[in-house]
Amino acid sequence: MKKNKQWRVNIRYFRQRYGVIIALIIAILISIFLSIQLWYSPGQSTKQQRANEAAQENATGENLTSVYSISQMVFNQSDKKISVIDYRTLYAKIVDRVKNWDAGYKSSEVLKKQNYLDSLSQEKSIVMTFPDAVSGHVIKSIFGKHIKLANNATVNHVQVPQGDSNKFYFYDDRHRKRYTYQISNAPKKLQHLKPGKKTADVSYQWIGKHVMAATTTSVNLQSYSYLLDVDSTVSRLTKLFSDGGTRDVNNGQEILTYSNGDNRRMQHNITTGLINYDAYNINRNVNSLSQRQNEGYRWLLRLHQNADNLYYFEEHNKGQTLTYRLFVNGLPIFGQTTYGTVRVKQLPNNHERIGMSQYSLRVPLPTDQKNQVNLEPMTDAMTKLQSVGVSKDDIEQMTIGYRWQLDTDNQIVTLHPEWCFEQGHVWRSVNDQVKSEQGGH
Amino acid sequence: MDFKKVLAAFLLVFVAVDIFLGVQWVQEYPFSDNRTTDQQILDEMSDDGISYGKLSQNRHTGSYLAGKSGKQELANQQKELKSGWQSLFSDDQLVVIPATDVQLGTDEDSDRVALDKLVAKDNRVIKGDEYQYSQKMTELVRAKENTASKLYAYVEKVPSDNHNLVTNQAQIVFEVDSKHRLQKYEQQYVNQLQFLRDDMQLISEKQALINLYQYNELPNNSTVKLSKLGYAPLTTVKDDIIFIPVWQFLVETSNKETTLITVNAINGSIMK
Repeated sequence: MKKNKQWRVNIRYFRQRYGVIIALIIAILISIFLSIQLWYSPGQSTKQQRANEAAQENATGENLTSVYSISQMVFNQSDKKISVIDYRTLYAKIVDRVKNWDAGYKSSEVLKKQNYLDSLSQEKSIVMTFPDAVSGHVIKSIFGKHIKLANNATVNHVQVPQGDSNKFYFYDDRHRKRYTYQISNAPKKLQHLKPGKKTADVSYQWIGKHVMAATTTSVNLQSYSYLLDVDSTVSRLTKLFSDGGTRDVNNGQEILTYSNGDNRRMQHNITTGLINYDAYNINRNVNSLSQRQNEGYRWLLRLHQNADNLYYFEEHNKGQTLTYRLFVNGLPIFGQTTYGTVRVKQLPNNHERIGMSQYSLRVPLPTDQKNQVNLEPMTDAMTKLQSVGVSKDDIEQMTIGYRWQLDTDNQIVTLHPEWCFEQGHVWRSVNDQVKSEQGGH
Repeated sequence: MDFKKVLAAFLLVFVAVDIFLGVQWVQEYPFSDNRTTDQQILDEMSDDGISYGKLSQNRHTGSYLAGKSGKQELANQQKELKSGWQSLFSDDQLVVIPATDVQLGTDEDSDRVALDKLVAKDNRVIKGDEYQYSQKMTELVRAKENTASKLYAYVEKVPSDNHNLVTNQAQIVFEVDSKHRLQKYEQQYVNQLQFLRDDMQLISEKQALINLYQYNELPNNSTVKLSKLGYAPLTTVKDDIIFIPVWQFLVETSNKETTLITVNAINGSIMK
């Protein structure tokens, strides 16, 4: 009892002597905490920008996972491997099912080159391949946040079982790394999914630093026609600026320059149709592939470039350059210049440049079903390139794509399928390369 | 001044600073509002007195579609209609008038059953098997046409797709009098339908309605009477009519005027 009274006296004495000082210290600490919080808060303009981005995502129904989609789907059957030409609907179905699987991280390992190919070729599985590496963050956005994978991990292929196996895998080409996941509960499996009618036989091969499913037989592909969309890109972009643009003619090229008077500038080359949007003083912490891919997608939203047929295509320097490209029926479109692409480039001094073109393809037109092109197996296309002096080691990537050809009325674009390859970060058509080399000799 | 008073003065100043910073912080962070953007917009719509039914969040798939005017096809088969049935073209529309009164039923349901049978007969309706009754399109034509007769709409089916063409370019409208007798019908037809691209995921009904509100297409105190997903014409290139998947909404304003608003179900834009 006496002890208790003594305590009370001590507390009262302490409060009288130090109470104000302690309260002052607490008040100072609170003000420091709040000041730091406000300093790092997104700010009204960013909040408004986020709200606009969210509104645009709502309007189009597009989101990050629509842009970072696959470019190839292969069914590893017991007798052969077949690549599905129109895979988008099937992909959406697979993603919906995989999202509901209970899967736990099991292990990760670095494989030898051949073991890596063997693992990808496992029978009774479906391999979905991204056009280039995507971050762990993108993978989790697609397949669900419950998947344990570091945001900064990179993934090129996803392999899901079609047989009795209860494992699925992510593959990272650059590091030849395989991530294994154990499925404990799969409400809906993929056993009954069929590849459809339009397919091509393939085998896995290393091309440069990537593994691709190369066609082993010739494949018939349809040509397509689209209405050239000239105005909608420019009209949407100019709404971002309050001025009408300053006209300038340089070397016979007419350039309109728009500016917000502070940190945004856009140059529209009317002669070539190319547009460069420059953003200066970007005060964001964007240093990894994951952050850059997220930021790249944000730029597509901000600049109204998130068309339903525009997809992620490739990255260079850990995402410092990200390229998004128009696709038709699951295959990329290659223009003569940069038509049909959006390129987000991170430059020094907090500067980002987004390169686009005023031309786009939105409305498809009917084409003659007989208008089909027979494309040789990939090894033949590769042999053609080697015959004109292109070394296999110099080829970074190879794919079948659609070539953009404008008609004489500048209204209709015909898309012809052909083999394209990447050398020194530049994509070219195999046929063009062969013609130019043969013409040069 | 006594040290304690100086401390108390500082304390007061910092408490005031904390209150100011705290207010700023609360305003800056949206933790007070956990609603999604969609829900916020729907709440705003309710505040504006806009009413609507249950909205689906399902995202269907669809694609661009092309077809040609089937006027010539209808003209070629005109002679196969039952003798005595009068048929003539008014622009692209085939107008057919029965020779004698065709008694259908005794109420709307029996009228419909009788019309289904009529449509299935080649000598009564050309290409009738390519059309099907649409309750929603019937409501739409009734809202648009203010006649004493009852109208019934049959729409052209899109092969291997769950959704139909939603345009008068691919529709039959039957006109039935108050005694349930068929007066006439008007038919338009689109042939050589073909899909032009691989399937895409379309925006949901909810997203489409939110877009309408954000584009200021929904007046205050209006009611969304019905909505429908189908294929509507986008443009015509040479002889080809290009159709795209659309969400159509029939909106009734507070002064009972009805408007049909169409939203592009691929990119969410409003089609004029």
